[in-house]
Amino acid sequence: MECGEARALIDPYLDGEFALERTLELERHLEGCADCAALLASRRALSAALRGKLAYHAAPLSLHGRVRAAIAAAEPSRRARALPAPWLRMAASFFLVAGLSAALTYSLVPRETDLVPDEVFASHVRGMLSGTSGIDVVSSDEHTVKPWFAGKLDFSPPVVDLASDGFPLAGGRVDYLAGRTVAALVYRHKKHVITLFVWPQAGPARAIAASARRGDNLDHWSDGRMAYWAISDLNAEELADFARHYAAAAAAGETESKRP
Amino acid sequence: MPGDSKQARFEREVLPHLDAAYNLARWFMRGSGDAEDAVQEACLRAFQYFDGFHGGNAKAWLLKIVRNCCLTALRGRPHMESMSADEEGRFDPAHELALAEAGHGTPSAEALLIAKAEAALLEESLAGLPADYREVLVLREVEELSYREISRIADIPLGTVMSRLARGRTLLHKRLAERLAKEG
Repeated sequence: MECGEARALIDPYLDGEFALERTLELERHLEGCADCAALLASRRALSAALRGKLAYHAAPLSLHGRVRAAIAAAEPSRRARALPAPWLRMAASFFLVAGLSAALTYSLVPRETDLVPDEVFASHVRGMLSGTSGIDVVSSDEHTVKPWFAGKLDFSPPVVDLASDGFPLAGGRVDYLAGRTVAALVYRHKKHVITLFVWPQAGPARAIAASARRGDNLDHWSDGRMAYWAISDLNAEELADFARHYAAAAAAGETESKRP
Repeated sequence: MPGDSKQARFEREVLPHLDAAYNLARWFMRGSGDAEDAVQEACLRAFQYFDGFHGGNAKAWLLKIVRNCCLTALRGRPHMESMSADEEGRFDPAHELALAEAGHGTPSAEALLIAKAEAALLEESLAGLPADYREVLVLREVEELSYREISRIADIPLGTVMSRLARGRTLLHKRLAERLAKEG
């Protein structure tokens, strides 16, 4: 193989888009040609730098809201499309608010188990729209957050900082969900926010179960004493990772606190 | 799923790719406010055409619509930036060789230098590439899409994906090397 040909094939080779039979031919050339091998090395370095360092611009929460509202507005009536853009946007924000209030109103209907995920979603979104990510006590220190809850709740949620696992604690708030006051812990992962709702619920322990609401992922589990709902726009794998770390740390914390 | 509305299916299948849509639009629009408008418009269009989408790769499908919306928005601008790849020449292996070797040390030293490039410098250099190259590079390196998916989104043949990637990387590499050498 000539250098000219090899160089034209280095990119597909690097990208894993190269026919197998020619791969061996190219690799033989790379072994014997320092120039081509160096080109491949600098291509690899460039690719790694782009993948590792380039900021990923995740869609801002306001855009999530705008898009969902615009779609909700487009669904029931085609006429909304004919309105000028500023009107469409106003209508869009109206539908978002209406949608959230509807979710809250429906939460009063007794079939609560079906509705908990919707309430979790609505509460998470409300928190995010508040401008402070719904954090009333801002602290990454579990020893600040835990006592803060003590004055406001009739139970004590496990509060653990998971910064070493990549999920630093950002703070918490008290919320109203499933017909009772609950603890809402706010964690961060990269640019994403995770809200974890915790309230007492006696019964059999349940393993982590995943679901989704309007593009957000949810994980629900129970340890026999408390029910846990984690929600975030993180992908399902990362949220499950969070849930596992939290559950493990919470369980470890419990054993520790039972010691004399 | 029972009672699965069009909206619910759309939210489940398409909206998880909103981050990718926004990220791509930012690279096209070079300003996040415009990027948000383009993404919103794209999602609305996608929702309207969603009945015609019979499964497959929802991400590539959405990104293609995002791309079209960005182009429509850019056409309305008085000073549209160059989208053309032609001005910096076509892919030519011999030329690649010359470019790669042109006046900046041994290539392996270069690999080390590139590895030291800061995020801001990378972003700036990538932003400075002609849009055709920037597009395939973002789709490949940031969204990690396959050549076939990129070909579908950018509406170019597979061979052109390959040559634009090679050429785009060489140009980016050259810009980076120049900037890094200047900074010493």
